[in-house]
Amino acid sequence: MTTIAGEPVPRHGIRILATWLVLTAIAVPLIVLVLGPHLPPPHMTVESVDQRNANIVMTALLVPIALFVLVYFVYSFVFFRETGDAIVDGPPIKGHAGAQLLWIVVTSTIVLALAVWGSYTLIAGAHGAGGGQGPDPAAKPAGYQHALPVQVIGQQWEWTFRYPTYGGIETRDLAIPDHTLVAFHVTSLDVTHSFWAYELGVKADAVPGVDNIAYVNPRHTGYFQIRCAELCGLWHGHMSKKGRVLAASAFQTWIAAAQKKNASIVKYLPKYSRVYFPAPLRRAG
Amino acid sequence: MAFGVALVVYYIVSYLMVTPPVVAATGSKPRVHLTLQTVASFGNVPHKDWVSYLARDPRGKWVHSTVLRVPAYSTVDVTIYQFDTATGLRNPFWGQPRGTVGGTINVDGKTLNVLDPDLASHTFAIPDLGVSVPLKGVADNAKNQCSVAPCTLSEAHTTVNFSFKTGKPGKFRWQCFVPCAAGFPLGFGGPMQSIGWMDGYLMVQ
Amino acid sequence: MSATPIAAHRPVWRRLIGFNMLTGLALGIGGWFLGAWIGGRMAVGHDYLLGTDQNDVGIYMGYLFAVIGWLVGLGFANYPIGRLLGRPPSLRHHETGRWTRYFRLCTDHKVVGIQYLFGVGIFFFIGGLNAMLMRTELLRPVEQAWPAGQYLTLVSLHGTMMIMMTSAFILGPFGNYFVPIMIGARRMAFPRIEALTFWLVPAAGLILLSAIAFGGIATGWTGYAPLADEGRAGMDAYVMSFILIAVSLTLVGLNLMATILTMRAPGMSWGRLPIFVWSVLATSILMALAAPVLVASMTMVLMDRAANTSFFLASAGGSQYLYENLGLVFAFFGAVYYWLPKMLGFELNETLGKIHFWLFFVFFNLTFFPLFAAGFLDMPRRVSTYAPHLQTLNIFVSASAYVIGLSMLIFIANLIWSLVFVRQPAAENPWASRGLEWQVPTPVPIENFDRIPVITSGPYEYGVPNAPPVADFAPGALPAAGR
Repeated sequence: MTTIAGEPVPRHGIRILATWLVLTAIAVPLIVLVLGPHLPPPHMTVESVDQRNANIVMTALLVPIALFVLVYFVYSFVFFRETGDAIVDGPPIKGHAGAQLLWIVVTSTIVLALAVWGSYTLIAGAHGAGGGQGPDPAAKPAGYQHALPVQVIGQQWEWTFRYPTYGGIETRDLAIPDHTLVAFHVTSLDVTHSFWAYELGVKADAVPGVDNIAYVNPRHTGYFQIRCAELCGLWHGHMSKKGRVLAASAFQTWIAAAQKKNASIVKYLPKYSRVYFPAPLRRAG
Repeated sequence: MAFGVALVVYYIVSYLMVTPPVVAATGSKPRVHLTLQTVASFGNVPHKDWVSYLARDPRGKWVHSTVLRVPAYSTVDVTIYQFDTATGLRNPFWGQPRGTVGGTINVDGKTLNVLDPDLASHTFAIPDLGVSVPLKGVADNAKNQCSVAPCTLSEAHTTVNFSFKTGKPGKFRWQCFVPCAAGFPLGFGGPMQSIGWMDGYLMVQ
Repeated sequence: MSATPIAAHRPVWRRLIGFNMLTGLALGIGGWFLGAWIGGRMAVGHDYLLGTDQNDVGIYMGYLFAVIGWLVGLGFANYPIGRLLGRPPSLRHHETGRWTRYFRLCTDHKVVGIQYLFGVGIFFFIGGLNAMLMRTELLRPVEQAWPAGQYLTLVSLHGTMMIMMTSAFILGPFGNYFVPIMIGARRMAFPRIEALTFWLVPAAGLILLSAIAFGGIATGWTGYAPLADEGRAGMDAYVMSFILIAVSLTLVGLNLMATILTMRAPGMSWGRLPIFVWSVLATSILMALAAPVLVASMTMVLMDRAANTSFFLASAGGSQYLYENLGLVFAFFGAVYYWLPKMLGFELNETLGKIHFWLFFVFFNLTFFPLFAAGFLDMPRRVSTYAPHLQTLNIFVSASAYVIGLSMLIFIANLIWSLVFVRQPAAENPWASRGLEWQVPTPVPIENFDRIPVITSGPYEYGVPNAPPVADFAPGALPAAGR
């Protein structure tokens, strides 16, 4: 407690802290219980559920931090505002080594803890969380050797898909079976694209000459949206279509029909490969 | 300085508004006809060496445009006169016609359900309608090849006929899938990324 | 070269002759044609340029000679040539009191600061206009305002202009103007290089705008290869302007570092440096490290496009991985309102300023926060079409963006109103600041200080009873090495 010019100074620090605590106590349960289940992405796969849970944790942690800054600012604007026209200096600002140290320690701890937690859940818990991990994934889910491989080929400006375990057929449409671990092998024939299957929670860059692997475990049947998430030229925004998660038996029917439908072109397709370097590099010189 | 900024604004906005004219299909609902041609080099300003599509308007005149209009809930018969030599498809998958009535195309009188991808010179594809048609190229050593648009039927060409159906109204993009942009890396620069050349819109109304 | 007192009676057209912006423009345009012609001759016989109808070699040579012509016309060749011919060295050029010095090579760092203020300001507004045009397209889920190719060019120009300009948003105008005054120096370490860093900026901006005449830019401001390799001739404008900006930024960083490290007044210990100077120093170090990398990667794209190399084409052995680079805008406007009384000597209208701030702050958040949501709801970047159920969100964002544009118009109105019509002279230290820059008169004398001051305390000692003054401006009586 200090006085300035003989008057007691209100305990600003306690007020700010108390306001912040009350707001946090209201906000965090609201986020976790009410907002949380509605946060994107929709929970069609194990990976998208993992992402949604991560969003809940991050929001529940970051909102109190934002609130602290906001409460501090708003409080200062309201209570430290100089009224009247006279230009008078306020009390001098002194450094406080304890406060500085506390700030540095607390913020560093939060950041480091998040980094550790994030890395652990990404690799050990979520097995990549639907993201592309390159040709040699570090976070492989259990049973990855038996994952259904589906190659996603990005080209200007459409997606095509190859199923190496079904005769290497290529299709325009994507379907994957429910409750089956799928390994997407994402690559490109020309420029960089990005395969974003929204409800699946999958996003992997399609890079020419690179086999980018992303794992996904669907848990519900239904449609999902596919978009391109890396600017690839004129029709980048139009590279979208719908994919489907089918029940396992429906998937078998679908793939058999796809094999029949695409039979006439199979003999012209190159042998299935993890990457392709198709000619021509340039036309006519 | 204000004048300079106004000039820049005018410059930017006038650039933005440039689009090729809309060419309507001939006939009327429920069956219409589109006639297009693909040429190896446009032969005129602004890009005389670029490959391009042209469309024939209902009066029979060839227009340098790729913005086409067809009615909704109709069948569209398409004739494409193809005057360019083959480059070959980067992804041979597009050698199989898709989204056409019967799943086939008619090339120079013969019905095909697949075209050798190395023989493709261009494709006509409307991805959002599931339509994709490979266009056979003219032989490299064919006589009397066309070099300036619009090309006439006395010059070396292949003829591709197919039909597709339209559903509800909308604005659909269409494009070529053969990397035919001569000289550009990956064959996909220049005309392959320009509306009015190898990309366009299909207005279904 | 510099105007003599008799010049006031010369006719206008004679006064325009000399090494200035007009001459720079003229020689720049001439240089373009010369370079394009040379590039045309160089390209003869190279097949890979046939068929594209774009001679990238010619375009690059044209831009290169245009920039050389621009700089020569401004007078940058005069001093090196003069020294080669034996003339004595000099630090100062055109530091007269005439308004014409703002349109030529002037080594007064205050003039360079004001040149930057208006230079980057103009390109900031052009970039902002592009943003308004983008948001207009996004009012509907299908393409309706601009076709896909033109929309992508808008996106790319908006982004590139903002990145290029805002990377020098604080350092350019305010770093150049105030750092020497704040450290008690009379000039920057390298005044001519400082002037050069400014004059490269309009060159880069004009080259970038010329992309429109060459088919636009389809890659966004990041310019990722291999897409950049495929681009139309407008891509060359992007590459060239980025190279120029990167050179300018590198030089700015090195110049500021040298100035802050070596030219502080006696008594200006590191602990007494204002936070602004510290942050400028940190940014300068980053600039000097990062900007040269830009030059390297842009040069690789240039070679892929013009010289048939394959840095980024995987099928020929290259790799796209070789291509490896918003908060600031509020700082810029804050700095304008705070420092304009010292820089230009006039007050800005406070009410209009408050309206500008609140509109900008509120609607900035209403524009960009929902864009986060849009991304979470399955809308990618750089697209002009999107799922129909996101239309309401996009309309809301576009409307908020238009209000940002409106707030900027209010800012411009304030500028014009205050500087052209009202012209209320500002007090010397309207904010009662202890900063060194507020202790000098307005307008700031050409040499900043009559004598180099000796700093006697830090600038943040507000409310400290009996705090010593921040500096002694007549230090004859004090030992020079005092601290």
